[in-house]
Amino acid sequence: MTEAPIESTSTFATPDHVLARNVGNEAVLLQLELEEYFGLDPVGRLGWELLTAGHDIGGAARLISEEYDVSAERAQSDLVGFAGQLLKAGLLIHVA
Amino acid sequence: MKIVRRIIRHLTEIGVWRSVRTLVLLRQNRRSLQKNGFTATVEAMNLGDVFGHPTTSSTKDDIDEAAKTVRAAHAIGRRINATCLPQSLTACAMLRRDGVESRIRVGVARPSPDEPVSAHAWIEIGGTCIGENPLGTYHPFDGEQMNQAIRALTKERP
Repeated sequence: MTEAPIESTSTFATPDHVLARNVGNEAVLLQLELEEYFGLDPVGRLGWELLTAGHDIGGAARLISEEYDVSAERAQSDLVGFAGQLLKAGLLIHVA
Repeated sequence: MKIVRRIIRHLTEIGVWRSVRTLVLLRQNRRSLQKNGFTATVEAMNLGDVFGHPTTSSTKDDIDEAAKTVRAAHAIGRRINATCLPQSLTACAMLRRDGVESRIRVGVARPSPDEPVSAHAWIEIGGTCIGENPLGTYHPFDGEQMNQAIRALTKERP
């Protein structure tokens, strides 16, 4: 099955088998299906929180660019790569 | 001689029957975790929602007695190289079979960004950590969410 491409309007959700826990200003994700832990640095944590809160890639990128003083284009490109990694690890579901 | 004294002290403190039950169950749980994985092991143990909030309150006597079971799981687990997860599953199973409401907590720590995530499992009764207090180091996952995740994976399994 081919994965749908990630676009600026793409939205995501958390799979049932993934749990998140904030640890300081970072986050740890537990992927229970694979029984693996993943650490997210503060930027990754913000990206994860925005994407799983229902923001699309474009909206999340705009908020990250405001928070971290990077261009929205750069934030979006990084976020597309980040979402791709999370999808591959079974930490996100592509909703639309 | 020193080893014999330690074994006698352990058996006196923990009890022979508790030690035997612990050893048998620990070996079984360790093997199941290695062979079948975490969710299948929890499911097969048929203990219900092992990560959820216990509903009944426990007395000091319950907690003192529970601490002996947890100490047995820790002590025997260390000797047979069983990690905190089979130790906690074993202690939780024994306590629940004895009618003591206990739950397993799973927590994570990340000492620095360069170090890998470390995880730990322990036993809690009525909000009290039994046999250790890892809350200063480990941040526990939400128990109800863990139960839901296990249930979701169990449903998906063919």
